[in-house]
Amino acid sequence: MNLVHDLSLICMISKSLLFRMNKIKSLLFVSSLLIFVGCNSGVFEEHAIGDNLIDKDTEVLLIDTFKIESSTVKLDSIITSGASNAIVGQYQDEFFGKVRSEFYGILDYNGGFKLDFDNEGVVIPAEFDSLVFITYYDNRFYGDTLKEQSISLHKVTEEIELVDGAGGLYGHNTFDYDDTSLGELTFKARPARIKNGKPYNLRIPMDDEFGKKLISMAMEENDTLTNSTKWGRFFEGLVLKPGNDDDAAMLAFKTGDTLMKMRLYYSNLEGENTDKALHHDFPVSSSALNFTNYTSDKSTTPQDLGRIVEETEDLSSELTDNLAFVQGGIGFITKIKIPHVEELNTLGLTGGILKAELVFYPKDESYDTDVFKLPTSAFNIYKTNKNNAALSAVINPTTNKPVASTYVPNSENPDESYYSLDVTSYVNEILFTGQEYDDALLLTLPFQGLGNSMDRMVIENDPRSDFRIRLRTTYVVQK
Amino acid sequence: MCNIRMIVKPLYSIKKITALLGISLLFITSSAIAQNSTSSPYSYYGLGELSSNGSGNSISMGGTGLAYRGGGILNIQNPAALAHVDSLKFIFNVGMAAKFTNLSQGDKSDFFNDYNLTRLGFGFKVSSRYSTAFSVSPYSSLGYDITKREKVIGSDNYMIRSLKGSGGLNQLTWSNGVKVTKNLSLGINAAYLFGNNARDEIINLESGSSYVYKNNSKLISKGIYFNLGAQYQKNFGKYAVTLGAKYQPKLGVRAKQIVEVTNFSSNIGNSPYSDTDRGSFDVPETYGLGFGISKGKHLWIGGDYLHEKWSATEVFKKDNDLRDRNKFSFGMEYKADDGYARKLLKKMTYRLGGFYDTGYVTVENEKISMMGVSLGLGIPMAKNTGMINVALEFGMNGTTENNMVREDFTRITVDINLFERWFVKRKYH
Repeated sequence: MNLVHDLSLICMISKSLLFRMNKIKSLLFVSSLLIFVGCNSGVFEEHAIGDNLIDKDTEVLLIDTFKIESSTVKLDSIITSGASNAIVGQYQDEFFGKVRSEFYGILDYNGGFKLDFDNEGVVIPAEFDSLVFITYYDNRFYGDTLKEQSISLHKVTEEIELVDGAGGLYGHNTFDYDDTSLGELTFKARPARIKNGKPYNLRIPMDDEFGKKLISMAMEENDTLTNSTKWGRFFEGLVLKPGNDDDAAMLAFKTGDTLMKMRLYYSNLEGENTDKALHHDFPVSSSALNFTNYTSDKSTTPQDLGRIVEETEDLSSELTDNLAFVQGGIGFITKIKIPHVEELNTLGLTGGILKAELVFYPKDESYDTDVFKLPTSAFNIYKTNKNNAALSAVINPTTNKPVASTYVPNSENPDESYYSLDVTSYVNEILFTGQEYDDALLLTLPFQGLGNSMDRMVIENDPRSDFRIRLRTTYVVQK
Repeated sequence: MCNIRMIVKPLYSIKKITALLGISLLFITSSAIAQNSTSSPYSYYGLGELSSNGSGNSISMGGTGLAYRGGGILNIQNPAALAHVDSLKFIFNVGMAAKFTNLSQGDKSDFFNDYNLTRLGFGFKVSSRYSTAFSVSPYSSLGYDITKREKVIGSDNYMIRSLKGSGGLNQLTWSNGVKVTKNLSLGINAAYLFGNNARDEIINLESGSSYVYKNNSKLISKGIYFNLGAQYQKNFGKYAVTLGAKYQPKLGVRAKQIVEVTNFSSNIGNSPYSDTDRGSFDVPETYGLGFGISKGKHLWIGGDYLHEKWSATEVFKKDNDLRDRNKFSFGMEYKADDGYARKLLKKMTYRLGGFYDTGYVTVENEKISMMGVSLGLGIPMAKNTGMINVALEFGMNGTTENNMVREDFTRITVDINLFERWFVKRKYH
């Protein structure tokens, strides 16, 4: 590019001003300039000869001895409504206690329930057959599916609605329900089983009396079965609850595509279809008010995370056996502070970070590969302060996307597998602009979908352990 | 009737000259300064690899020039020689060099090419006693590019460290020579030293990170210095003996030293450190002596001794670890042209020479010295319109002992002098 510019300039000026000069002389002059302009590209080839002759002002070190302070935070409100599946189940965990989820859903009458009419417009009498609640597994689960568990169905007696100003329903919301169940089933979960090419479904037998009542209301042509407002008041919704002493698995069931429904089987007593089994579906609607409720009883755990009440009070790892916790659904996240990272600036005249990695290990024997699995989604990090609110995601500036962890497996020593987060730009920023005493990071499963997540992990942070949380920095020290 | 035909040729010439100068300066400022003329790691030390500032004639004679003079030669080494430039002659000079270097260390070796401008200038006789010349030429050069893969301390990962030197100092010299008596002439050079020496250290990880750490250290000079020259010639029949002398006092040249550290991943990052220091660095006290003996119009033999006191110089008030430089050179020139020659071979001038330069750099107790031999030709252009001087040097710098680097180089310099007739008034009666 430079050469073309120079060449055109030579030609232009030569033509206009040198024409009087002896041709040979001007040619000589021009070509001499061309040589020195054109030939030297200024690019060297690489080589290491002479490396020992040049003084080096820098030293490159791997430094990972920073003390990392961790604590556990419990999020006040996690929205659990608006998901495409329901989570129901309970398991018992030595770190998280009794972890339980219940699903509140609103039943739709699917356009209204009407019995058939005969030629004169009179309702054909019908006979109740059975009432069953059908749900399809959504493949995901957490816990031991080899153990027996149970689900009971209850009618909700309070209107399911949003609390003032809320954007959805939260995991801690509850609504009154009828203690007497409308249906129960004890079973062993088969979340991945396929039958006839289709996912397996769970059929929970429901109370016959309720079914008969629906049939008699239909025979009376009661408009509760045809008017949506009346239907809503008659049946506010239902709640699926696991058994109180269950120690099995949390299961996900599909709620979209009218897959989760109450099915009323009946048959006509007269007319043409007397030998046909008729049914009407009452599906769980795709309402924004369907939500999952999460609770946990921590009293049995040694770390007793139940001590955390407010979101602003994080529980230091020093008080929880040097462990930090992350759990979806319930809403535990880990807070990390690296108070001394700025001391890198004092190592030399100046310096810079080439790479900084936040490395953390799941506590050994807190997970396994079939029952208590490691999380399937990557972790994100957020900047936070004293109040533990997520202020902004730590972004990778070259891709402009939030930094996500990568899992680095070690096939020879599986205990040495770890998670890694690239925090190079974040640490460089701290070295350049400093950090306040209260500045910290929140380590969490992705916020989007946290209300629908069954993942959980226990992070090791014993200062004496080789597997504590580390910040591994490759730092250039300038002498 | 007198038809006085005043030639306005000088005016045309001025226009041409300005054009030539304009183009030349354009190239110099944009290209020549940015380019390197050496690839030697020794150029890291001191002010870089020092240039000789000699004409093509001098280079082909091992750098000998203090007692040398010629009617069509701009001898900047000893400005006193300028006083003997032909009258009515406007000399325009441009020189280029190509250096081919083989670096060896232990059992490794590497090959480099460098090209650069050696001089651009013009000069002419102003009056019967006084001549002047302007030139731009390199003063010193910095050029090395070393890349080494090293382990990060405390890790199993590797990083790549690049050490790059580039730039150099240039001088814009105004030379003046005055004939004091028939035998003695004196001269003075006033030079503006400009340019920058850049030494970079660049570090990046072999894999897993795109951050690049760069430490850039620049010495930018903008200062003036001067030196003096004298020549004394006496004839003894067929022989003429010339003595030349040169003196330069130790002077501080104003300069700026800028250190800037940056740590970037494409355009994301910051500059953790930046410092600008204003001060000066010294050009050394120098004295040189030269002698030359010519027989008739054809033969000339001579030698130079140059002593530069680098040990007494400081850069920004800090001692340099440099030592005094001594350069010995000798040279011989044979002009085959007796004025009547027709064949080109008979019209040319043949030159040869050699030099030994102790250098001014010591690295790990090894004194790095240079020596070489040279050959040259002077090829006249048609109708005395100019002269092309070609010089070929073969030299060696450094040593392979003690894991040092030895540089074996071949350098070709082409130095062109163009002559224009000036100040001619033709009168017709």
